[in-house]
Amino acid sequence: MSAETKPRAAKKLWTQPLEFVLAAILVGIVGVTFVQVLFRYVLHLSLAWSEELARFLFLWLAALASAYAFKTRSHFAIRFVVDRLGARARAWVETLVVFIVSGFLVLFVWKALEFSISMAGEIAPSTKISMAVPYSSAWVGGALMLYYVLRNWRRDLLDHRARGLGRPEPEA
Amino acid sequence: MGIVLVVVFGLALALSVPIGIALGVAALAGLMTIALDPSFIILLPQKFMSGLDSFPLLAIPLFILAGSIMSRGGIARRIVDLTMVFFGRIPGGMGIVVTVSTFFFGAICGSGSAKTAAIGSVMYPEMKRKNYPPELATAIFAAAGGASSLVPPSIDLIIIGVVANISIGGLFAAGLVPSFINMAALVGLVYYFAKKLDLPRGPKLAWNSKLRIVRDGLLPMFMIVIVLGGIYGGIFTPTEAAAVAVIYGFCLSFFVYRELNLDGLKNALLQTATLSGVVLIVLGTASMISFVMTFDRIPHQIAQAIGHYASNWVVFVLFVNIVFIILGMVMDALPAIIVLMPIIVPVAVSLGMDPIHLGILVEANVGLGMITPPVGICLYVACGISKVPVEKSIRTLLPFILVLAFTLLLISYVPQITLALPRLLGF
Repeated sequence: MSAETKPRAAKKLWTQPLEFVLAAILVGIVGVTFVQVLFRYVLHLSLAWSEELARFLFLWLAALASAYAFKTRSHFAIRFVVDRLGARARAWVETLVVFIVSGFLVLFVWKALEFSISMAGEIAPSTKISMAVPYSSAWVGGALMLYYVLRNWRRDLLDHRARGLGRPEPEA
Repeated sequence: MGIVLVVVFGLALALSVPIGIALGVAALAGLMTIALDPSFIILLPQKFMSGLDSFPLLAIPLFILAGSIMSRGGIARRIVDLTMVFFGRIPGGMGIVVTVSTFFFGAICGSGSAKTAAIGSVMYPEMKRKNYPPELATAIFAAAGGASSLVPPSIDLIIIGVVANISIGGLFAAGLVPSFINMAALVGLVYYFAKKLDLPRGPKLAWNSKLRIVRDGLLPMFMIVIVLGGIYGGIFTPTEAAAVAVIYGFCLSFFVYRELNLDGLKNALLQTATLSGVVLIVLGTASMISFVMTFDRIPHQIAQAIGHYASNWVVFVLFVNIVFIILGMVMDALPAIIVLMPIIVPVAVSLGMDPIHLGILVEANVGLGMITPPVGICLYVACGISKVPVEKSIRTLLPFILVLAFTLLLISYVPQITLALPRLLGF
């Protein structure tokens, strides 16, 4: 899997919307799944909606957590080729990577939006909500990924300019 | 199309595009070789979603969260203390304690690097104080973390189960004996080094403190009983077991030990989000590539090619081992599991193998890949803890790699080791 990251501790959770939502979704998944077990063994009732709701929360978790991993620069990438390049060549490659990643994400967000709209009429069997609700996680998450990729890039550029050419330290 | 996929993916990886995106870009390129029509691209987000939309996968963030809470809540330290009581006074005791407690901690935490980090950071200061050779300590942290990837509830086993449609409970049962063999082999190696180098032992403990530590360590051990017993006994699914583990771990560290505060809980949640994001994006985009490959019947062709060269299971297993060791050395093994497992499972079955055996031996390879340079996550985490440069640790690590390669062969060619327990439990 990937490297451990330490989130900056000082900030309060509710001042960071993405972090807050991620924490809330995780707590929600734990809660819904735990309630499902409790109902089955303590009250002898099988809940119809719990598994579906937990799955939908998970789809949102997957998309938003992927975006969060861009924010904390935790995604797994193979650096041993790039790290052997000179500073100039590396700067060019890093710019190219930003273009590749953003290009892909733009296409992904556009098509994921189209997909969500096409699924809006479908109703989930037990929670009775539109399938556009879980599937919208893809374009929202994709758009956030794009935002963080570009924000990191801008920070790196400012950093490079401030310190001359050198590889920026990963934040967080 | 196959060539386009491989070239685009390889190029993107070499440029340092994150693996999750590189898979997506390759899938896009592959799709465009079929028809240069943008209206096809809608299939990609659709497959991204369907690859993730599965209840068993929920166990991944939940087991990561359980491990994350417990390594902050003083549970890792209690497991270390407990094993110290039993193994601390043997020659090389501290290294043996690292190995055994990593395996036990593995039974409540799903990710290899997290185990290395949790146990390593508890043990290293003490080992350093006693002049344990830093390179050897590093090698033990890394080897124990990688080798314990077979211990249920391993996240990789969950993914193998989902993508290859193998019973996760069966995989969890099958991982137990092989991981015990790995642990015993590593303990043996540490013991050998200890005799040769006269390594420091753990501290002498009075009887009453021993009793207190054992009593303290029972509650975390009970957790293992709940999680594994619950899954094996069919009381709950792996996902439900993971939720129970989170609640139990939280109550233990928040109310009983009082070592987890709200800030620690927040950090555990955010660390879980990060690690989940890293894994789940790869699951989503690897599903895209698996789907695109079916257009050109690539899985069928790969299966046929393998069938052509590997006419019996002995050769086939050798082939699988070689492919996964190489992949595990140069990249994160997750995409390889997701893309290749669904292709090779039918081949294995046609050669008379049990899919559970295949899943376990692939995961044994993945564990080995976590400690082999240049890309071995447990090695990097271990070196980060001991501040030993990666290059300097490799020589000491080599005997550990060889021992684990040997147990890998054992697991590969003696299927009974893997299959006896799941058969007994009726999976």
